[in-house]
Amino acid sequence: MEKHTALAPEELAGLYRRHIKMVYQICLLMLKNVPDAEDAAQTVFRKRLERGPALQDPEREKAWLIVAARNECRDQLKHWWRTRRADPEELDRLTWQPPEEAGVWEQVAALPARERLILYLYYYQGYSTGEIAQLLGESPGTLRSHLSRARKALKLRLEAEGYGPS
Amino acid sequence: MDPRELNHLFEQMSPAPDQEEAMFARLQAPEKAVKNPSRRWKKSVFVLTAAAAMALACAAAAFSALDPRLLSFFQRTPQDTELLGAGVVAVDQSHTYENGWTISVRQALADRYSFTVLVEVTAPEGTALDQAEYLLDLDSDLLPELEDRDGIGGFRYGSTMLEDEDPADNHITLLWDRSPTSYLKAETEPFTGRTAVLTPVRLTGRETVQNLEIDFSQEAWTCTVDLPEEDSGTEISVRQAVLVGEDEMEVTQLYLSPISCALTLQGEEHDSRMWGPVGLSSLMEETFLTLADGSTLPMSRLLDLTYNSDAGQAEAVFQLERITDPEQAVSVTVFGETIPVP
Repeated sequence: MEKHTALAPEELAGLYRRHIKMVYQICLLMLKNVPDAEDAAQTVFRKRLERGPALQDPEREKAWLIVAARNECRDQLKHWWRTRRADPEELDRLTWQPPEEAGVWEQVAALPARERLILYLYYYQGYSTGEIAQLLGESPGTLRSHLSRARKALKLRLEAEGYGPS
Repeated sequence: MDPRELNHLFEQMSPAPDQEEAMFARLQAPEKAVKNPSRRWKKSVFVLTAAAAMALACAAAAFSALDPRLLSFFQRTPQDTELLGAGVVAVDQSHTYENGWTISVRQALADRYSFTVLVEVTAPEGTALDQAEYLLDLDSDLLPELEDRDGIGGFRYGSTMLEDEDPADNHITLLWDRSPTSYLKAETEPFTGRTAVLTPVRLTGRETVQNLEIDFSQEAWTCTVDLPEEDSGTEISVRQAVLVGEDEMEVTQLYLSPISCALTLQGEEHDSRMWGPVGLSSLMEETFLTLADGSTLPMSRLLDLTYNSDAGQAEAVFQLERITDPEQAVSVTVFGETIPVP
């Protein structure tokens, strides 16, 4: 079996510059607060550093980082520190707030983490449902139903908040 | 829903240039050498939770084998139950509420300073408990009602959700923990030999379109657990100076059992800072146990940390990551100082 060697420092710097924005966005979207998102993003790149040389295919590299970010956040959401906080309101106090209009974020943040990620990959990153299903290891049918449910829930919530039907 | 609004939101979630640089600098530093400074305030979030005494019901205290889910949580095999002695308490009491939800208290695990209860929650048929995170609130009468006392603050944890093998079903299992140091009375009253009266209050789900909150408090069902007289742990008197961030403190008491480790740290009395030394927020990262085989056991499960600013005293109780024979413990390291375990 081929032995992995660590990523060279210059490769790490290039990889980081290209993808930190996406990795951080995913982490913040899933974890909803800045300190956790920063830690998770760092962990993703640390794991990438340990994993070995840069992949030849940039899309595969990007896909690896998306999945690693998702996994890291999922682990953190189950982590002892989060699951044991006695007062759920404390979590709300820590939640990131956007610099501009917070209404849309409040409604997006109320969706399950998995659905927030799917919306991000579909709308912002421009992946198709088939590509997202492959990335996240879900069947295309399940993925489409999650996306549909997320869109519907978000639409209802935004309308209820007075944003009006699109 | 306009995708442009959504994408505008996602764009706002980009890291700022200086934030990118700071993260990259930390990434290049040796692991753990540079801490995320924004995390400090987060860990200083102190929560005072109410503890109301209520009525009773169930019970049974007898030596029994540790439930496989607890064994798994503590990374151990059935043979390790012997280390716990009478600390394993069979409970096996359950109640179905009028709303169709069932709470089953299966087993408890206790020593002088920690009390862990294994609880199953079953939703009505057809309700999938598929969220990543649920919190279970139980009231207990184990702690004095002193939470409003001036100068005393701390945080305590609620419940831990165990691995859910089938997220699509209507069943989850949680651990609920308490330690007796929460209010730092003049003398902490240990749990050994006491009776715990537990009252389910609510189950909260955090990851859904509408946050799930099931209220159990309207129905007066309680569960009584007799905690064992026997204690599998040892109190160790120490005097070890430690540097807690920029503050000098002294570790004055150490307790070690197969499932927990408790520490008392004494600093300057009449501390005007509400939450005491800032460095205390790093206690989890700065404490570990060294075993006879040279391995170390991190203290990542802090059950409780309380600070009394008048007395300048902090008390912390950790739950060990795995059941450990105290005789195999060589030392406890706190903020870089090694305290031998006799």
